[in-house]
Amino acid sequence: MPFSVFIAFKYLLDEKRQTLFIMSACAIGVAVMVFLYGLISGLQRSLVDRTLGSQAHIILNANKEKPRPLAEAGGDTAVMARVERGFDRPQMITDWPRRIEAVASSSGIVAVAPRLTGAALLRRGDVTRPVGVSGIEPESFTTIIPLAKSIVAGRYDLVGDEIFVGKDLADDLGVTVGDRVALQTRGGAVNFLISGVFDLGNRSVNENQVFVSLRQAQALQGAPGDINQIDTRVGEIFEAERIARRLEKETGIETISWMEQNSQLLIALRSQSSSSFLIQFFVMVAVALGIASVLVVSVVQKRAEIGIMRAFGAKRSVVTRIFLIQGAVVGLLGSTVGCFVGTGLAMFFRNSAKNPDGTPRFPISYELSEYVVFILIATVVGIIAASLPARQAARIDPAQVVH
Amino acid sequence: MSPILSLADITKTYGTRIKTQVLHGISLDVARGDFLAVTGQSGSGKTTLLNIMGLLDRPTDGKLLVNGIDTAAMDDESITALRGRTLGFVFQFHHLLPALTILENVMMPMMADKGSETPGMRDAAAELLKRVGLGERLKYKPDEVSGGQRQRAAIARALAMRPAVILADEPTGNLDTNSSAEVFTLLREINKADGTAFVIVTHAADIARQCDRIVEIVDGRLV
Ligand SMILES: Nc1ncnc2c1ncn2[C@@H]1O[C@H](COP(=O)(O)OP(=O)(O)OP(=O)(O)O)[C@@H](O)[C@H]1O
Ligand SMILES: [Mg+2]
Repeated sequence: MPFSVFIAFKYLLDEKRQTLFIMSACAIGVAVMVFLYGLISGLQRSLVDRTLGSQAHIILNANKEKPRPLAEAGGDTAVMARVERGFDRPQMITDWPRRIEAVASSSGIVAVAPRLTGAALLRRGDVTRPVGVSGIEPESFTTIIPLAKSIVAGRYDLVGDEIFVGKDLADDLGVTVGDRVALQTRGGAVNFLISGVFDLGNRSVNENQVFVSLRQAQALQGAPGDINQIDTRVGEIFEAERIARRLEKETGIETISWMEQNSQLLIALRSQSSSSFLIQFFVMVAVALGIASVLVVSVVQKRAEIGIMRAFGAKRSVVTRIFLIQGAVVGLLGSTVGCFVGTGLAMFFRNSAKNPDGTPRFPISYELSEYVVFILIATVVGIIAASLPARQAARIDPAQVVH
Repeated sequence: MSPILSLADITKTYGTRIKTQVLHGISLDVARGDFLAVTGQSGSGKTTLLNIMGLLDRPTDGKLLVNGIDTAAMDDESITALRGRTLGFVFQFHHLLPALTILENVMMPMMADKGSETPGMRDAAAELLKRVGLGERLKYKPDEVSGGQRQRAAIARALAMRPAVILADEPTGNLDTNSSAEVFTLLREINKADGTAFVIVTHAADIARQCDRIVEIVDGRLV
């Protein structure tokens, strides 16, 4: 064992109460960090999951296609620069199977599905409700939004004139699987058979969205073979905005990421993260000050001992190390305990805050790597805290303190 | 053979604003086997001189040779290593580290020199403690033995690196007459057996008289 480590441990063990005191300070600080981190990240994860449960990560939408000039300026042609959006012209994505393939092979994209969106009035007897109608391919669509898993009655299948309605809409109209409803558009009314009732966990979607097969939607809109939207799913959800901008450039179709659509949520998440980071930072500053002040006192108390070690051949660097090691050990052991305490607190909190159905309200969980980071941070904080007393110790002049 | 320590015209002035010159040109050689007493009134500069000889402090002017080598140009790290290997110290207060056992205290200079514990270190330290009559107290903490025993442990520690010179600043100043005589006899024995040179600062005339050579500091000069 190196001399400096030997002495550092002797000092820590000799002053047990003092060591316990600063280790507890460190443990409490790290427990707060771990607890706060778990709480905030769990809360954010559940918010984001809920948001993305009924929303594609990136949407390419032909209706929002950028207006293009009809003639390009160039050569000796003069063009009056005036670009106008098309008037009341439902736009479609042309040549979409090839487009979908191109989007699917773009980097960062893990799933792609076509969709034709439109509006209609849903009628059941005398009651009508305005709804958004989405024509989908059930197999590809459920890779974007987990609709198959969200079917609460019936089956996930759209054959012929079958339709999925949301739970809240079904309740409102008093319909269920096997009942018939009609969708009315400018072209007339078409009858559909409810094959599934879904619950996507979002009331407005459950109330206002219905799904039919792509072919039926095309027939309703009088646009056979066309789609107006491509939905995609990305691997890294927080990369969505960057990927969206790139896709827009690649395809020329306007793209919207979930991040753009939920910018308010993102701002909230970001300010929540930064305030929790700030709290964690100041907690660790307090811990560092605690460790430093105890070690400063320790150095003052041990002036003569340090002088003696120096007189008997201990180099300044060794003296420095004796105190840095104490800081590191306190940080390492204190934070390890703190990780357990913080996790315990978080689990207690998770178990006491439950939904009515008994499931935890927050999905709090930790990765081993996160603990490693916390312990590493605390150890570095311990070393930094010890650096001032260590420098003080190294400056001690044996001739001044030993008599 | 050059002396172990050779001081030539050493002066020491304390302070930068208010200057106090404590030593006024001291020249002194310490050779192997010397047993030297330094006396003088309180405040005459004995400790100051010993600190300079012990490489704990630097002279303001003059030359200090250790084994014929000038120390003026050496950096702190080399001075520390040289001090650890060549010189041993005994102070009026024992200054044993209270967190360490008596044995570990004696091993301390060896570990500081080697950087860690090496095989044989423990036995060598135990051997030294046996020699000063503390063979049965190896695992005791300093506050668990008597004042005389503590001072003998401090002597064992001074012997740890087999130094050529041991500098002792009033080594018996804190002890009663009996312990004081015991400790002095021990120093004398070590001197006779190993040829270790001793420079002993003392107030006690009877102790000084038993030394081979006495130097007295008056007004910062040797007489
Ligand atoms: N660090 C210092 N700064 C300023 N003056 C000092 C310092 N150390 C010692 N002195 C002065 O130098 C003089 C000699 O001090 P020193 O400790 O060497 O005396 P001493 O002979 O050992 O005395 P004593 O017998 O009381 O131990 C004293 O006047 C003291 O005030
Ligand atoms: Mg003195």
